[in-house]
Amino acid sequence: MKEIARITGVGVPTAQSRISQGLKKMSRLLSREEFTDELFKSYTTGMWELEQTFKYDLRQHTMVKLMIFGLTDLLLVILLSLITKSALSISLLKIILYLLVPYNIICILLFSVLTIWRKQLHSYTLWLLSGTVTIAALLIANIFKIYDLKTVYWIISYLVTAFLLEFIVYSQVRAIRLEVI
Amino acid sequence: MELKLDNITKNYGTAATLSEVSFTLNPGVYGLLGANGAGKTTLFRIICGLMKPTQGAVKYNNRDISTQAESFRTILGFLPQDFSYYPDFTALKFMLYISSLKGLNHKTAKKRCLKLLKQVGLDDVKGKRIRKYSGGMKQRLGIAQAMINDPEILILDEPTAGLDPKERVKFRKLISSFASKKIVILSTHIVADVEYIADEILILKEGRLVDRGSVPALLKEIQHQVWECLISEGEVTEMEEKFLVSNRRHVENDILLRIVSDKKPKEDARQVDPALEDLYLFYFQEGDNIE
Repeated sequence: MKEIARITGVGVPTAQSRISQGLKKMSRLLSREEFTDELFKSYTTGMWELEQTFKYDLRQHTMVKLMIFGLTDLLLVILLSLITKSALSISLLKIILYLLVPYNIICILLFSVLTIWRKQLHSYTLWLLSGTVTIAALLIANIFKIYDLKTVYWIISYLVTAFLLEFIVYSQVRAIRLEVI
Repeated sequence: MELKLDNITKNYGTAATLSEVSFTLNPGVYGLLGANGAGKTTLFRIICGLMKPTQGAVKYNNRDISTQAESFRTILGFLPQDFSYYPDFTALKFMLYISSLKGLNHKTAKKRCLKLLKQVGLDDVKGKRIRKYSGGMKQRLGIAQAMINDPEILILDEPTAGLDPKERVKFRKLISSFASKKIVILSTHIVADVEYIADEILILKEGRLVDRGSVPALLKEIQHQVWECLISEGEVTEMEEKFLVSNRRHVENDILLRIVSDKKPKEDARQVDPALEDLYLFYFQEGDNIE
């Protein structure tokens, strides 16, 4: 952090605040309102029951939507990492980790919400949940100063969240395959 | 083509919503009659694969539908009782969206969607957002979406709810023209709708299939049990307490009662031809004071 402050010619608190603002903007971009609405609209409009009866059922097309949004987000993460790398003297590994760990956590939350609460989901619940998660993330980031933690902790967090995410995706894909067979 | 329900039972906790329901359907139009809570919607949800039965199986061409889920959904059309939609979609966009989820290619889908929208009378408003539609228009859209993939099995839960008499006539014509070589099952509280178009009626009472047959065959069961008699205003309450009254109307200073009873309700009562509504009341009568 001190190094960033020195390079950018500002004080440490200002550098922290700028990084925090940048991350906030990025999180808005990564969890775009349209993305979330599109993902959950089957449940918030009550269409989920009818969509279960189509050739490509609800589970299949929700998975496809998640994959498309996930890949778009991943591309954005990589693009932002490269842009940040050219602007700041932080290692690319750190930038990628700073972006991928929250990305994994958001994906895990989305998959879990879609699986567990799908039938009771309402757009108000959805926005309440999004707000709570964002506030919790900001509080955690500020209280525990997560960006001052050693890279090894970020790597561990990444591995744990990536494993969890892969497990959830694998379970869903397996369920679809079994249904098709 | 054969759809077979084999000993279907569905329990919610200790309460049985459906009990050992078994029947076989071949191409034709079937009307499912039952009072509220008889298990019609549960039965439809089980046939559509939305719900697993506690016991028994649904078989399509002798294969359990759970072992051919995707291919079964390909030949299925369904209109749920509470039809939901995307309010910001136009009717055409909604139909095209559903077509793609039903696996139709874009060219075929567009042709089919336009044709169906015309058939249900939504051609002029196909570019209008669904949120601005009236209840009847939404229901017609629901019927159209169920038929997009030209399904071999079409299940319609209360399809005539919210339709005015003219729309109901149109609906009956649409189903009749669609139904050849297909299995169409529909439930409705408007008995006249199934009376006109159903080849066979299935009667579901308290989760059990109590009867099935063509309309004339079912009406034979109450052939000599429907009466009409003229009574004075003062006798109405007593008659209604004693007998199952299916209709009453004023005739000059008296009241003409239509009664379903195995006994002649009054000396001057005359026997009349039964209607499906009489049969419905015969099966779903309430109260123990009726003879």
